[in-house]
Amino acid sequence: MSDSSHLSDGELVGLARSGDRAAFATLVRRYGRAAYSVAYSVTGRHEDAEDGAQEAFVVALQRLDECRKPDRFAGWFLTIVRNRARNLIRRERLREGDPLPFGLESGMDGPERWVETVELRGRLRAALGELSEVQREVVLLHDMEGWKHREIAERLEMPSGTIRSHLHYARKRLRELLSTDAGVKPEEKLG
Amino acid sequence: MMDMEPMVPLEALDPGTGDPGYWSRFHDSVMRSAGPALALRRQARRVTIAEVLAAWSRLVVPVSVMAAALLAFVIVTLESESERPMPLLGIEEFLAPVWEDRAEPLPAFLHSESPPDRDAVLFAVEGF
Repeated sequence: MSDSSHLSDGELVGLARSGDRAAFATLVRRYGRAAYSVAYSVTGRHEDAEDGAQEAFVVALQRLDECRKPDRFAGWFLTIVRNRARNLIRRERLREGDPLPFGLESGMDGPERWVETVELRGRLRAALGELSEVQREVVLLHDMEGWKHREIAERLEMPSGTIRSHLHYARKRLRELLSTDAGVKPEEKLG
Repeated sequence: MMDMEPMVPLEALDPGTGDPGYWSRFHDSVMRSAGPALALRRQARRVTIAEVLAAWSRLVVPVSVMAAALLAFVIVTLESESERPMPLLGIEEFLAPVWEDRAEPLPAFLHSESPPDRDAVLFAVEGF
């Protein structure tokens, strides 16, 4: 398999359009985590975020010819992710609610660590639920995925100042919520 | 400055935290799901090339056949022409039709109402 990690989004989209597996795999690696974050910001649930992100990749591949600006693949793709995640929520609401908590993945560390992680996730999820969707999306992309302001602005096609503003208010609100919630310190990390 | 704000510890929400193989499985799962769509795209690309070649051959083959038939006809015609013996004509036979076409018979000439000139008389006599 050829290494296409150095190629631009536009080049990768061009190759993926002709069925190049390596090019599409690079796009999945490049935007998989961001897709998950965006889907999570919509659904608030790990399973739905995972399904939404995965489905979005397949849908994007099927509709790749509709991507009129391949160099701006990220913005186009994350819109698909958002829409798929919203569809999932609608479908979920039609079904019986089964609010599964986070973290039933295999390969987790010991039980204490697992409980700690699940608890922290629960608190974070509750706190994120207090934010607007766009604030969740921005704070997840920045603080979880490590995207820069400029990258988020370009890829979400929003002004950089707006991104900074959303990030500022999202962080402030999260700190407030987490500091009043069972003594969890915002800076606490899973070292 | 906002950039100096401490990050909110959202790593716990990253499914890869504590599960190092998560993103690899995620990637594999997406690629498995995308397999049929990628195969369709590759197939569509091959079909397109094949269609282009087919369209090209649809034009080229009949034109080639027609050109070959025309060439064969020309060659056969030329060969049959070259096999036919040239008729041998004497100089008088060769010139006679010309004189006959141009010269009027002497009786017609004699009954003509226009006054004869010298050349016309000579011509009529020679032709007769």
